[in-house]
Amino acid sequence: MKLKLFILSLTIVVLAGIIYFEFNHLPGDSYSKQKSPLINTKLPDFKFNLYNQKDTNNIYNLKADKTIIHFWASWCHVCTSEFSAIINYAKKNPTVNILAIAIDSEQGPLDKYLKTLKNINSAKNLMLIWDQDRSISLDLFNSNIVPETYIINKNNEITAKIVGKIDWDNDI
Amino acid sequence: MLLLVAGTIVEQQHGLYYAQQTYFSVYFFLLFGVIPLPGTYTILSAIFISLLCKLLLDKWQTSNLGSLVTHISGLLLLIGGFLTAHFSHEGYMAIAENASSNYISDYHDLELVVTSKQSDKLQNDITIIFDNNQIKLNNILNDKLLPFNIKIAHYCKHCELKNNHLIKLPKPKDNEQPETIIGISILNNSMTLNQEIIYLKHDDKQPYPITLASSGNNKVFYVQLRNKVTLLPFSITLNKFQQTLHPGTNVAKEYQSEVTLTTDSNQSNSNWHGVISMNQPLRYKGYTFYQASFYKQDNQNITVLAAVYNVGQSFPYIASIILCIGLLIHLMQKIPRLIKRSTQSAIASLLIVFTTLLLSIPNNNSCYANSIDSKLDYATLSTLPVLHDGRIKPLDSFARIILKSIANKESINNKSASEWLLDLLFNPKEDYNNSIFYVNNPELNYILDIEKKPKPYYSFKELLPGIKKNINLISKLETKSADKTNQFTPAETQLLNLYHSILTYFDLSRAFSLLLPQFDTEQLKAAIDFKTHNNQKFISYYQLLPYNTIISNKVLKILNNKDVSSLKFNNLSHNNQVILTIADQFKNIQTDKININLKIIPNDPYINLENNNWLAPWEVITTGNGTPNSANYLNLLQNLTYAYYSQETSLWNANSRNLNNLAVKLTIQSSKNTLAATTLPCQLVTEYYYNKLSPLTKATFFYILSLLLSFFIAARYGYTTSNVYSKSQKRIKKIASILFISGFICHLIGIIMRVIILQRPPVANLYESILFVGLITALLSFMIEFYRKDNLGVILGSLICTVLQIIANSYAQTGDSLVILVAVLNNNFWLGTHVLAITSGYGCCLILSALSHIYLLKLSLNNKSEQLLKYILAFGLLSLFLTLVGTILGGIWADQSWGRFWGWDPKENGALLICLWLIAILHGRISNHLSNLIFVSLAAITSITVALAWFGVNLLNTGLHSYGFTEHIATNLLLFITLELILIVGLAVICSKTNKKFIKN
Repeated sequence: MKLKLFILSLTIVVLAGIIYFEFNHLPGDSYSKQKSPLINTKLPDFKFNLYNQKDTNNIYNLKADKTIIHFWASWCHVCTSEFSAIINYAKKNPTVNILAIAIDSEQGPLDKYLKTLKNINSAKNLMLIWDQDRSISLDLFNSNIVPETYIINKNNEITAKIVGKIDWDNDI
Repeated sequence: MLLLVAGTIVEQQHGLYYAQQTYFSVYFFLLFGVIPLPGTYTILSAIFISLLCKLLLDKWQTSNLGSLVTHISGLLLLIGGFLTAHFSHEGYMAIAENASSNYISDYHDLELVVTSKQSDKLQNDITIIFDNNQIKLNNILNDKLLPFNIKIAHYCKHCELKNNHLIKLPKPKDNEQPETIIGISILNNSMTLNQEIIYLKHDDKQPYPITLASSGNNKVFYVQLRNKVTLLPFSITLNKFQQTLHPGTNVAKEYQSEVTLTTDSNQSNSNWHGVISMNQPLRYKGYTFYQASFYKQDNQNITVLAAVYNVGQSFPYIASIILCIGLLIHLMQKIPRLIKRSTQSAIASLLIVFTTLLLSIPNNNSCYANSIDSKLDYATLSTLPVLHDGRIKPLDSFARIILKSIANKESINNKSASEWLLDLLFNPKEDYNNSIFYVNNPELNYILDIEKKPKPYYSFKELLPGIKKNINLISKLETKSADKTNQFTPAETQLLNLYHSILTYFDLSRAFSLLLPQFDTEQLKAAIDFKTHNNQKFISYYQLLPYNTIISNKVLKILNNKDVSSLKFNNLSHNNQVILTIADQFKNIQTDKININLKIIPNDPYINLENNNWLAPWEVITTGNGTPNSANYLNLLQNLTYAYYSQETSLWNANSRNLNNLAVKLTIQSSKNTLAATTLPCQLVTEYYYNKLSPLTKATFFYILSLLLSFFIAARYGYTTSNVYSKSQKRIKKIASILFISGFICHLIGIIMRVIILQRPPVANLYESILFVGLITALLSFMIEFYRKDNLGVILGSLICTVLQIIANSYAQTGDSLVILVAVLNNNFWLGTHVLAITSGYGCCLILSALSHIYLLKLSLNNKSEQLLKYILAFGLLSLFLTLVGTILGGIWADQSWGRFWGWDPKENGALLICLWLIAILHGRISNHLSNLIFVSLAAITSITVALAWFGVNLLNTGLHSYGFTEHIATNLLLFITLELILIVGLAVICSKTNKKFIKN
C-alpha cells in the first residue's frame, strides 16, 4: 500500500512539474546554425602583357585591395557603350586595379576604337590587354559572351561574376 | 477499432476535419443517422477508467512491475490527450516579410465582428464578437451595446456569390478552406427588416460598413466575417524568409523563417531573434510556432506559421519513456529464456558465408580485370558526379536510368550502362546505328513502319523516319497527356515514351558535340590563319571558338562581293568555298546548344544559378556562366575526347583521373554554399559499387535458393522438430541456412550502402520500407534459427523475404530507386527513429503471423507444438513493443513538425490499428478469454492488419504521410486479404475438428 501511495504521489509531483515547465518556456533553444559564409575560389594565375607593350606581368604580382577583370570586345556595342564609365571609375578609384581584356581577334577594329577614346591613358590602374588567341578569356575563364566582369579580392579570390552591362557608379 | 476503420474511410470522402468532428472528437455519434454508437471520447474514457481500476486493484508486485509501469504510461497518455483535447487550440499566422503579427487565426471556426469607430473621443470604440456557435441559419444576434440586431438570413459552408445568389461549389479538398459566405440582414429593435441582405465572405479583407440613419447622428458600424482570432501576449516579426530547393528541381528541401519575437508588457520590452524551420519550431509561453507553408503575394514572401497552444505537450514524451521502460521490463520477465547453445557453429557458418561472398565479388569484376590494359578504362569516369533529378549521382547511375528507359535493361550489346553512355557521348555517329531502342508492340511497328525483328531492339537511324512521319500524331498525344484524366491505349503510351526516349537520347548524343573533332586542321590552316600547338588532324568547335569573329568577317567579305555571278558556290575560289563550308558547319554545331540535359559541371559559389543548378557543357559557353573552374573542366574533357579518338590509353586514363578529382573537388565546393548536405566522393563511389554489385538482387537470389532447398528438405524428409537427422540431411540443412545467411548479409550490405549514399534512414518510401521490413524479418528468423536449429527460421525468413523482395522489385521498376525527398520528410531524428521502430514492428508482426500459420498448419496435421506457442507469445509481445514505441515516437515527431501529437491521420490510424489489435489479442490470451487456437488464429490475422496499415492506407490518398501513394494495388490487397482469411479460417476449422480436446484445454 505504501508503495502504491508513493508512486501515485510521485506521479502527481511529476505532472505538476511538467505543467509548470510548460508554461515557463523561453525561446532560445530553437536557434539554428546560420548559413555558412560563401566559399571563394582562387583566381587562376596568368601572364599578360599590356596592349602594344612587350614586358609580361603576372596577375598575382599586381597587388591591390581589389582587382576587376573585365572582358570586352570592340565589336560589342554593350561593351563600348560602358567603356567611358569604366575609365571614370578607374580615375575615381585609384586603388582598384582594372584589367580590361579585349577578346577581339583582329587588331584593326580594336585600334580604331581605342583611338576614339581620348582619356584612356589618364588612369594608370586601368590596364588594357588584348587577348588575341583567347588563351585568357576562353581557356582560363570560359568567357564567351562579353561583357563579363570578375571581382577579385586581395587574396586573389573571386568574389563575384557579373554578366552583362554594369552600372559602374553603383553596382561595384 | 471498427470506429477507427470507419473514421479513416470517411476521412477519404469528407476530408480530415469532418471526420474528426463526427467520429473522433465526440462522445456519441449516430451510425447511418439511427444507431447511436460511442465515439472515441467515450471509448477512451472507458479505457481510462478500466486502466485506473486495474492499477488500483491489482497487486503491486515486482513480478508484474513491467505491466504496471506500462499501464501507468497508458494512463498518462490518456491524461495528456484529455488535456490537449480540452484546453489547447491551434491556428495559423500569416506574416509578410518585414511585417509583424500578434494574433493567430483558427483554421475552421469563424466569428462575426461588429465594430464602430466613434468620432468623438468620449465614447469608447465598440467591438462585439459573435463566435462560431452563434453563426447559424436564422439565428438572431443581439447585444446590449448594439442598437440593432443581426439576423443570419443565409449560411453556406462552401459557396460562391453570383448576382446576389449563393451557388454551391464542389466539396473542398483536404487542405482547402471552405469559402464560407453568410448573408445577414439588419433588424432594428422592433424586429422589422430595414435593409437588404448583406453578403459577407470569410476571407474579405475589408469590413463591410453599415450606416444607421435612425438616431440623428450617422453612426457607422463595420461588420466582418473572419477566421476566429486569438490575441497573443507578444508579437512576431518576420525578418527574412528563405526557401531552399533540391538542386535543379522544384522540390522544396527546406523552408526557413527568421523572426523576431517581441514581448510588449508594461515592465519591459524585450526582443528575441529566432529561426523557425521545418522540424524546428519556436516555443514561447506554451505556444509553439511551426513552419507550415508559404505563398507569394505582390512579390512578397508570406510565411505561414502554424501555431499551437498545447497544455499536455510533454505528456507523450514522459509517457513514451515510461512505456518503453515498462515494456522492456515486461519483455525481460516474460519472454522465456531461450536455449543457450554453443556459438561455435554459428561462427563457423558466418566464416563460410564470408568466403562465398568474397568469391562472388571477383566474378563481377572479371570483365574489367583484363580489359584495363588493352582498352580505355571507363571505370574511373563511371563515378563522375552528374546532377539528375535533384540528386548528385555517379555517371554510372545516370547511365543506368537512361538506358533502362530506352532499352528496358541496364546493359546492352555486352556493354555496361556507363560504357554505353560514354561511347554515345564521345562517338554519337557510331551509336546511331546500334540497336538499343526497345520496341515490342506489333501496332507500334506498323505505325513506325519498321520490320519486326527477332530481338525487338532498333537503332536511332531505323526509328527516326517513323517518328518524323508521325510527328503530328505525337504532338497530339503530347497535348492530350497534359490532362491526366485522358486514357491512352498501350501503343499510344509506348509511342509517347519512345518519343521521349529518343529526345533524351539525341540530347545526350549532342551534349559533347562542341568537343568532338569536326574541322580539318589542314583546311583551316589554309583558309584562315589557324595556329595549332599540337598535331591534331581535326579540331573541335570549342577549339575553333577563338576564330569565330575571323571566320564571320571572312564570310562577310565574300558575301559583300558585288559581283553577283561570283556568289554561286561553284564559282567561288577553293579557299572561299572552304571558308563558307566551315562557317556553315560552325553554325550547324551551334544549334546543339539546346542540348543541356547532361548537367555535369558543378556551379561555382559566386554564380547564382537558379535552384543551385549545374551546367551542361554547352551551357557554359552559351549562357555566360563559364568560370575558371568550368574552363578547367572543359579543357580536361577536350583532352579526353582527343584521347578517345587517338586511342591513347595513358592519356585517357590520366585525364579521366584528373577529371574525376576536379569534379569531386568542385562538387564539394559547390555544395558548401547551400544549406544542403554535401555529396561526398565516398557516396559516389559507394553508389557505383551499389549499382555494380547490386547486393539486393543477390540477396533475393540467395533467399529463393534457400527457400527451394528448404522446401526440398521438407518434401523429402518431412518436417520434424526433433533433432535426429542423418548426416546428409544435416548437410543439406546447413547449406540452406548458409544460403539464407548469405542472403541476409547481402541484404544488410545493400541497405547500409543505401544509407551511406542517401545520408538518411533507409525507410523513406514504400520501396525502402519493404526492403527494411525484409531485413528485420531476416534478422529475427535468423535468431529463431540460431536458437532452434530445426530449419524453421530458414523457411520462415526465406519465404517472407522472397515475397517481400518480389513486391519491392515491382515498386522499384520505374527509374531511380534512390530518390530525393520533400521537405517535411527530410532528415530528422524522430522521423528516423519512429519509422525504423514501426517498420521493425511490421517485420516482427509478419514473423508472428507466419509462426501462427505454421502452428495452425502443424495442428491441422495433428502435430501440436507448445514450444511454438511460446514463440508466438514472445513475438506478439515484441511486435507490440516495437509498434507501440514506433507509434508514440511518430506522435512525437508529428508534434515536432506539425504541432500536434495525434491528428487521426490514416497512417497514424493504421499504426494504431496494429497496436490495438495486438493489445486486444494479447490481453484476451492473458485473461483467458481466448483459447489457444483462437488466439493463434487471430495472431495469424495480424498479417492482414499489417497489410492494411502498410499498403491499404496508401490507397486512401489522404493525410500527411505523403510517401508511397500507389495505384493498382487495391485488387492485390483485396486478393491477399480474402486468401489469407480463407486460409486461416479453413485451418482453424480443420484444427477445431481434428483436435476438439485441445480447445477445451
